[in-house]
Amino acid sequence: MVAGEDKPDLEVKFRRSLLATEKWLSKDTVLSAGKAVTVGIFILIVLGPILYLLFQIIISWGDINETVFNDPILGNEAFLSMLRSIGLSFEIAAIVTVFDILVGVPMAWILARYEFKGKNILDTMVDLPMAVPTSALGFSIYLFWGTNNGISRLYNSQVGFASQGILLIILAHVAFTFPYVTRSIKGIIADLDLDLEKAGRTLGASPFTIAKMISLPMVKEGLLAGTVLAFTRSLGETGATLIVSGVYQTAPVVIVSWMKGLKIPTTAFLAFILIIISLLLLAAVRIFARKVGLPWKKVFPRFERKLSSKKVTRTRDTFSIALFFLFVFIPALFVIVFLFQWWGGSPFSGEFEAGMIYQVFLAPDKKINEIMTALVTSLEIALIVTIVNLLIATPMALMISKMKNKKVKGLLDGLIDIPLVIPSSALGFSIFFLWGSNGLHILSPGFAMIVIAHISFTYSYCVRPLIGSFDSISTMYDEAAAAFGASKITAFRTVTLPFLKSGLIAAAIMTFTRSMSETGATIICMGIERTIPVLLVDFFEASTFPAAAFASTILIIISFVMLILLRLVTRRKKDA
Amino acid sequence: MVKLELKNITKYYGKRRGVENINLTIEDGEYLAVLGSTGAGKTTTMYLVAGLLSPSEGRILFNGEDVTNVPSEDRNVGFVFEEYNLFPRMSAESNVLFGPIVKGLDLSDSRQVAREMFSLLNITGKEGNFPDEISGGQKQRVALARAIVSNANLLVMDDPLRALDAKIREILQIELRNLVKDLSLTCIHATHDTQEAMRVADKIAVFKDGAIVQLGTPEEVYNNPVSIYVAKFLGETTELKGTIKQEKNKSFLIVDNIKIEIETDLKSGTKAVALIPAELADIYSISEKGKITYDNIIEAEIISSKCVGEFFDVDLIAFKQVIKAKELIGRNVPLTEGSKVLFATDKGDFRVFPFEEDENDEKEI
Amino acid sequence: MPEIRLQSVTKIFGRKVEAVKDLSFIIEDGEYVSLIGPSGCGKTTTLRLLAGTILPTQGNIYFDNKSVENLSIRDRHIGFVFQHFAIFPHLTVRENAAYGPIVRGRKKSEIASLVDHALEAVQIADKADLYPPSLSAPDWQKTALARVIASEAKILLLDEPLGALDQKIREKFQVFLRDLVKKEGLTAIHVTHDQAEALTISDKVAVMNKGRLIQLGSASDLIFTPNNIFTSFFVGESDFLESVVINDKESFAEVRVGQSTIKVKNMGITRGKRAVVAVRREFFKVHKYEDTDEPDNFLPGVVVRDQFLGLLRRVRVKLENQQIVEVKIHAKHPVHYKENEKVKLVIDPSSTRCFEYPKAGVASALEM
Repeated sequence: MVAGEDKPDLEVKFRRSLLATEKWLSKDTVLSAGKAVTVGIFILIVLGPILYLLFQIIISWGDINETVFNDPILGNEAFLSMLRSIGLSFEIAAIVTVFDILVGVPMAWILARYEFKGKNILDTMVDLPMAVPTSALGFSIYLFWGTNNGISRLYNSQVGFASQGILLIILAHVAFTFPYVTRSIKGIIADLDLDLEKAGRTLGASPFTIAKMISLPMVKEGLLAGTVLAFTRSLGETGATLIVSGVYQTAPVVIVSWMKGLKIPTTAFLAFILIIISLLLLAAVRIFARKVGLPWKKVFPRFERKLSSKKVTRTRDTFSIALFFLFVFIPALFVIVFLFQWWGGSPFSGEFEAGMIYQVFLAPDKKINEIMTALVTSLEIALIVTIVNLLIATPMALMISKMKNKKVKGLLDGLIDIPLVIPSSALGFSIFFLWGSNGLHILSPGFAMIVIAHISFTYSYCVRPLIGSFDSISTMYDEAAAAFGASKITAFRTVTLPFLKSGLIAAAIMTFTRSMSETGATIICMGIERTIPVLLVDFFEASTFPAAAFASTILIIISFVMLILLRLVTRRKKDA
Repeated sequence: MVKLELKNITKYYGKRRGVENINLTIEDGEYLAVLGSTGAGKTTTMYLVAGLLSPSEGRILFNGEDVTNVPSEDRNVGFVFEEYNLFPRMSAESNVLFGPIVKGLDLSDSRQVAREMFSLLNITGKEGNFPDEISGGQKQRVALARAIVSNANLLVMDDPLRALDAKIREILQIELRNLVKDLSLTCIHATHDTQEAMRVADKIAVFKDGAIVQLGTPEEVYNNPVSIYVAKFLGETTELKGTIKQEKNKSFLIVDNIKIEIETDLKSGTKAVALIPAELADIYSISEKGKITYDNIIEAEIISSKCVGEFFDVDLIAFKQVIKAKELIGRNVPLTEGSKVLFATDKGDFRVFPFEEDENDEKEI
Repeated sequence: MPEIRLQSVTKIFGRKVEAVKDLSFIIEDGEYVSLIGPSGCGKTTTLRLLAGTILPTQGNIYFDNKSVENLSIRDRHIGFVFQHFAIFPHLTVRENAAYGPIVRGRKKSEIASLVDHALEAVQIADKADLYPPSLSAPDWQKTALARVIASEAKILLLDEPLGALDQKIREKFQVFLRDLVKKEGLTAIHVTHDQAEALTISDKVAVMNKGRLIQLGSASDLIFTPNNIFTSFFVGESDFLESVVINDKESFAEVRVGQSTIKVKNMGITRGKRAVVAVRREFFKVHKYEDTDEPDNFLPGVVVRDQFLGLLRRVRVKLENQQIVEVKIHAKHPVHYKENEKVKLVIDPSSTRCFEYPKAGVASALEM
């Protein structure tokens, strides 16, 4: 060996110290500490506020008892209106979910099984309502169903098809919850082993019988998960509901309005009830999902054969697609049509001052400035939230994916779904409650508090896809890396991370989009600043529709771009 | 009880050929093996028979009745898949009873039949188990029971033993044939394995690139392969290239001035290839000289020999080239490396084909 | 130089799944050993125990007389070749090969020489800068081997390494792999489901069943002198004759099978005891019953089927006790047997094995 080679050069020195650091980090004790920190952060950001709320409800029961049940003037009126709003929320969520299943399941089947031109486009269309901020969506739907600009033009009516109220809430909720059912089973249907269906056919079963007895039982869990998501999303939605509800108040809207009225104890109690209900739903689904059988076992060969006929299937498919366009896609994007109608002036009077150009760019209060400021605020928040969440969610996802103890794994796996199911306004309220003046008193409502609230409810959106990514990486790579002498962290950096790239990007986009579109939690945690979905609600309440349409269109475009990016990333992953 | 006929069956997947112009008749109660490598059109043929695919052209007849347009669920065909395709969320028994249930048959009768099938196939006691709780061999037995229970009288099997361990495969080959014969089913069984085809079937159809290249009993196909491709597909062979010489009612292949007696109608002077299957290249110890009767006996040297279970795989030098030989174990022949032996062949052992340049380029199988 | 010793190693998964049970054997330095057995026999578990990806529930593993109980997978200096290769798709062939020395903090010049040597040894130097997705299965295999050699592992663990290759390429790779292992002076343990591969490639073969080691020996040990019923059954093909020993004095014992008496190898089973005679199907000779010039050590039977298989012929014969046995004969055997023809099944006593009758019966001894 040449003498000069004995002195390691810079690269070797650097590498060795990196390896040594990684080896230190891979020590069991250090790893355990890391795990503890990961769980700690999760508790602090997600579980903490909820637990604190629970705790406060118990210790200040006297207070609550007085305001909620025994108000000196109103008696238990507060409690009764809570019950009314919750009841209404449930009714709406139930109707919406039924629609989602009836139309969403055939839609998923069409997207997973048929090959046709424009399939990708339809697929993107189905996902779009999920990415668009609900306040923009709600506004668009209001314009379509609720004003004389929309569908009523088809039959020359001077008023909208539906006025603000329950029907309009349902129509709005249908639009943004629709993708959840379709999305959650589309992938599973596409991955189903077609050979099983072939086996079924050779045994004499008609396609309908096969779908019922073989395929559906296998998408059962996915369907249930999607149903719960759609249900809880409807139950907890604020932004769109604020716009379309009128005098009818769903529970999350009540939270927001009481919060505005600073009725803290009553708000706390309502938030508490909503959280408990959502948690019970989540728990029930996780515990019983596998055990619940589908209700039908009996086979009616002749009848089911008829249902399998080309005529019936074609009718069903056509209906699903038509209903999707009529109730979901067209209303959701109608705002763009509206924007063009009102571009340079009112389509009815032609008045220039009523048009979008004047309102947004020329009027003395130039709405464009407000819009731009709100947009920047939204982008800043979404960006910070995304970065922080990637940092805290990646170790959590890794931990859950690699966990051997099945019980603990199941528990953690369930816990991280919590932000997914509880109404974001309730979650936002508990964060306000913990971090604000009623709790730790570290923050007052404002930018920082919004960020924390957003981190909290986007947490699941970040962890979920990452767990999937980690699960899809074969353990043989880890084992190979270890066999060659790599410590756990070295193996993570050199082997796991390169596999994870697209998963990370997908998680980032999901988190970013979700943060961009939130209304309820933001309203509760904000100070003077406005995010763009909130600004939209303000515009709506001030009846400056063309400006609202302008802002909505910007949001739709951003969501659309995000969605396309997400599709590109995930598609590339599939090819690899 | 079914007689199956395929008439001019052609199937294209877009531009890609699945099978072309298949004509095949399987008599009632006959067991036919479809033998070919990956991509030969075996699975396509099985799917066409079962109605899981419809042909681009041609007709399929069951007992003379055209079923070309009858959907799979109405054909009453029992199908056994390579990967079993048991329904994962049903017990073994529910899998087997799936057919009777969806056909609306009398379940108490079917349960009885299922019980008999379970016991016939040695899987009694596994009725309540789910597919992921039983071994590969047991899964395929359940799949077989499932295919037969709902009164199927035509059994279609697509490389049913491929995914199984060699030992189980060997056991199931015998069970399969016995079962099919006991129940007098008509059976079509695709496989990539020559020994399997020969073991189970009454007749073999050799497929290549979507067409039938040879059809006959195992003995006919083995003794008279129609092409170099078939001869090579049937087992390990060694190629000898030379020129034909016809002399006094005898035929010879001249390789490097050495005369090898063969059987052929080719004319003198024709360039030819003779393939000698390894198992027909017999080896005797030198001391047997004069005691054995073969058409060609020459001295050869063993250059390698290894025992792979039932055979010794031997490489020896004869006719100035390496010849591959397989010797069943249990014979008293010295097979040590470097030893001189007698290499003996009969004229009928050689499969002789005219030499063609492009045959030479044929993809190795 | 490593010698591997397993001492009473047991691995229980969950509460009761005994994947490996009381496993003890020694693999000597530089030996090439294959593990074979039916699916689920514990061969892969054994390999993973050696690698350290799982730890034994009981017992110990020693490399060169040092217990590896507390050695993690990265400190065992083993080379692991996976059935699906596990080569890193985002690294080139060269970078894959360099992975071991890099993460062990070797110097650049050392890495270069180790990698060059490895790429040469497996003959893939010409594709060193390509990425795995653009290569074919045999090249993936070579890359995986290069990675192991560059890591200076002395113990090579191979899990169905040729399972993903075509039959023809497999046979070439068997020779290549053995030569490589011998040239690099490695101790190799190779799990395979292909008996012929195991018998060709290795110095010794371990037969496993239900988590236990059944027999460890050379190819010819396993074929010609199996020491138990399962090996006779699993390696190649044998038939088993249930019998009772009636004379244990000579070098060939006399046993009674049904109504007949035959001579078999005396393997120490005493008179009056039940025994199982294992006969390889290649070692039976079948003759027409009228033939008189044959040795008289035979069992009478009738032919069930004389099946021509090209490669050989299989004659199935039903013995007097209704048992069906099978005889493998040369495809060109001059005599053809008709169904129900009476025949003699001649047995060469020196080729037989005679085992004690298993307590739970022959079938249970063969259970896989």
